[in-house]
Amino acid sequence: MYIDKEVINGLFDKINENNIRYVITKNIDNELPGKLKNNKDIDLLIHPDDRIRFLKLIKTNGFKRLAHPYGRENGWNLLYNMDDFYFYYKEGLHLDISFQLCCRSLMPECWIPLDLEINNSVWDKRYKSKLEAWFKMDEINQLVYLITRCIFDKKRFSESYINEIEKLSIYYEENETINKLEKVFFKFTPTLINLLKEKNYTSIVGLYLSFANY
Amino acid sequence: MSNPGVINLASNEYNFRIEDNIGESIHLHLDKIRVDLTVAEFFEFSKDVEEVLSSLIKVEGFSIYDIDPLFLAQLGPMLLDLEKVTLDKVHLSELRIDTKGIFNLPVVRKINKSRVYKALLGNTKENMNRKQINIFNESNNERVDKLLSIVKERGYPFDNSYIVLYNDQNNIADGQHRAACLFYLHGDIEIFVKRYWFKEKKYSVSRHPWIYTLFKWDRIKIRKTLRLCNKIRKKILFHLKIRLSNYGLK
Repeated sequence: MYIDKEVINGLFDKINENNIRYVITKNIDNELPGKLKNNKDIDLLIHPDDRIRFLKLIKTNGFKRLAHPYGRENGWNLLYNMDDFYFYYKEGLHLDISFQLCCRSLMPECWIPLDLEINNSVWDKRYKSKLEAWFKMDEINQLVYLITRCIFDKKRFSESYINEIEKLSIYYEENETINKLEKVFFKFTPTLINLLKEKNYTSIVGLYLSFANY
Repeated sequence: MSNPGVINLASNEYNFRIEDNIGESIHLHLDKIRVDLTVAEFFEFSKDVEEVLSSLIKVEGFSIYDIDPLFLAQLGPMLLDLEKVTLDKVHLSELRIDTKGIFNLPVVRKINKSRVYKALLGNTKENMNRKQINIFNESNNERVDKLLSIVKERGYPFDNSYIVLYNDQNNIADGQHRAACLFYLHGDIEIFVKRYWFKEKKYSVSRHPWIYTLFKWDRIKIRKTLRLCNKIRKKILFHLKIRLSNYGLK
């Protein structure tokens, strides 16, 4: 039912040994390393400069490539010269690989990278705790990404995402958070932050799409 | 760069498009020129455009202000060919609608075969699956329900807005929802419609559009078919590439 946590930790150890720069983009409900169900993905963001080394490492470790369900091959457009996604599989473990932090555009079947400032800061601020085998994003980038994903990719705030976002609620009013949210949501940002503070999650997507105060 | 909240509001073949960049501004693009407007400025601009259009099209019986904006966008390129507008009476059973037949081929049918009429009778599947533009957050079926309420309360026509036919044909160009609601409420009554007469009866449609779809090929259709073939070819090559790569052959 769950993938063996030694397999997951072993994978990250190999990536770390090869000095490949990466972060996991989310770890909802702390499913890593011991609660990742069979055939669920690990979402990895790889530094674009380490792309070739990472893909070689994955292939030599027995991972097979599958067509990514939301990649170019399946008719999706990746804007602003974004790198295509990769999807690898081995013994029940799926890796969903991207090279830019991105989200779905409101234009149909388009992915768009988040602002360059956000993407660059992921690499400067990533960290690895002593208890975990993997690198992850800093709290503010994680918060911005989770909110962006809820609004653009999922079009709703699910319970598990709300739990993850609320863990980071102390960062709502940090200047860095506001600056980064403004790169994505522009003049909607103050309204967004108020709605998050009020925990008015069901209204956020509708209010964003109908926002006209600009 | 990269506002993910971009909605393409309109575009045409003259490299002109209008985008809503949510939270940022409305962009008007014409070739390499871009104009940024606030939402309020954009509404003012569109009022100015309405006035210009109204002054350009001097055909008796025609008024820009009586037309649904979505229909006006479709009608726009045809307006310079408009010769006259007449007010006629037709029975609802004489009206025709464009719909899909066997193998999803386009056909022309009577109003009682309309997906909107079927939805009013409780058969909502075809209407639900139809790709159409509605106002924000309104589903196809909600739109039908709303129109039914309006027609019940305000009758027909309301706001000086008539069902529109082109030339001497009875195919509904605008107003299928209203026609279906009237047929549902009152049966085969006689109603007033507006006929738009175009030069040389341009924009009349074939009685058998499926023939055109199957047997008549124009540049657009050839291009679409080639694009589809290319897409299939790329998909096959991609899967081959993955298989070769997975077995260490590439």
